[in-house]
Amino acid sequence: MKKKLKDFNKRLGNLKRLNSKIKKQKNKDFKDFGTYLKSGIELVSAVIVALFIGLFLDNYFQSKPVFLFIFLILGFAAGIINVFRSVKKLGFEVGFKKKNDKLH
Amino acid sequence: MADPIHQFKIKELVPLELFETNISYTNSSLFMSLAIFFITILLLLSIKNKSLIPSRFQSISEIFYEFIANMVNDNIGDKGRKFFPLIFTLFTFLLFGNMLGMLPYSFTFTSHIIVTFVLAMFIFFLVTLLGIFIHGFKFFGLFVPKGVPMLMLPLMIPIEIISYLSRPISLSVRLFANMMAGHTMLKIFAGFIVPLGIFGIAPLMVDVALTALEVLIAFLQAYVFTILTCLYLNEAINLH
Repeated sequence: MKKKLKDFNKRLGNLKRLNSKIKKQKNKDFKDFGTYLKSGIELVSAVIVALFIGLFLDNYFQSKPVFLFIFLILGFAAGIINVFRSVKKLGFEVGFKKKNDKLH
Repeated sequence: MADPIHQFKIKELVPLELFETNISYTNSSLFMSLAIFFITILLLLSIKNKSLIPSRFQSISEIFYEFIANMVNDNIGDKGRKFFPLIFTLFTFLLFGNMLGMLPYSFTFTSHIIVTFVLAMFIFFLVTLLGIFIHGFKFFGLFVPKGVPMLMLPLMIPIEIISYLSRPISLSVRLFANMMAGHTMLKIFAGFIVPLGIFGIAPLMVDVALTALEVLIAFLQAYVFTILTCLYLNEAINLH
């Protein structure tokens, strides 16, 4: 009887461990899903912001395409950095880094 | 065929005007009020009979509480406890808004960019002001990435600033675009069901599947919005 109980306990413990492992994996997948969903918009939003800054500065200094050009290029760069960061799991956006991470 | 965009039309239910500004009570406002009403009812019901073995409603609100508490704890840490009410309110409001939109004949207020943009701007200003308030001038060190040579800084700082300013846009567009695209798609497929007669079974099946997907998206987008808020707050509070 005791042997049987012990055996049962062992099997139950194994199953429980397996279950929690699966749960953890599921949780992780779910969190990743959110990251994938957002990377497309990251690229575009930086360009939109740069576009508005460029247009505003051009309007202010009456220097039509100069600032628009400069800021659009910077905007593309910022968009790529945004996507790069979110994909690299460095964190999400600007300046978000893990503690021991030297690489940008 | 039914117009797929028609469902997003704002209708004035109670026309109001204040100093020549239209502040009418619209169907959007109605559904925002409904979301808050349902959240309040849910939370009130759950604390009516407090017990060690929770009732159904108590279980629901305990799940909500634990979900948000874990999110705040994991992402911000101890100092984030002050912001729990904000995060909780934000999450439940967005979740109920998205989920109410899944009911037939209802209106999804998160499918209008102005709603999500105002929320995102509020968070953006909150995070920026909080960062400046806590860290003072040091907060702008956020724009100077680590390990970048001095020569590159004039190029990197504008890029970082643009990247920082793009946050409210990506935050708001993500939620709005997902909700609007999903609801439009549902409506387009629904519009094919009756005209196709017996073959309408195919778009009907697609619609059933899409509804399930939309419920997932509704939850996921509320989750993403809140978790990003947590990350931004974390950055402002625990500046590295």
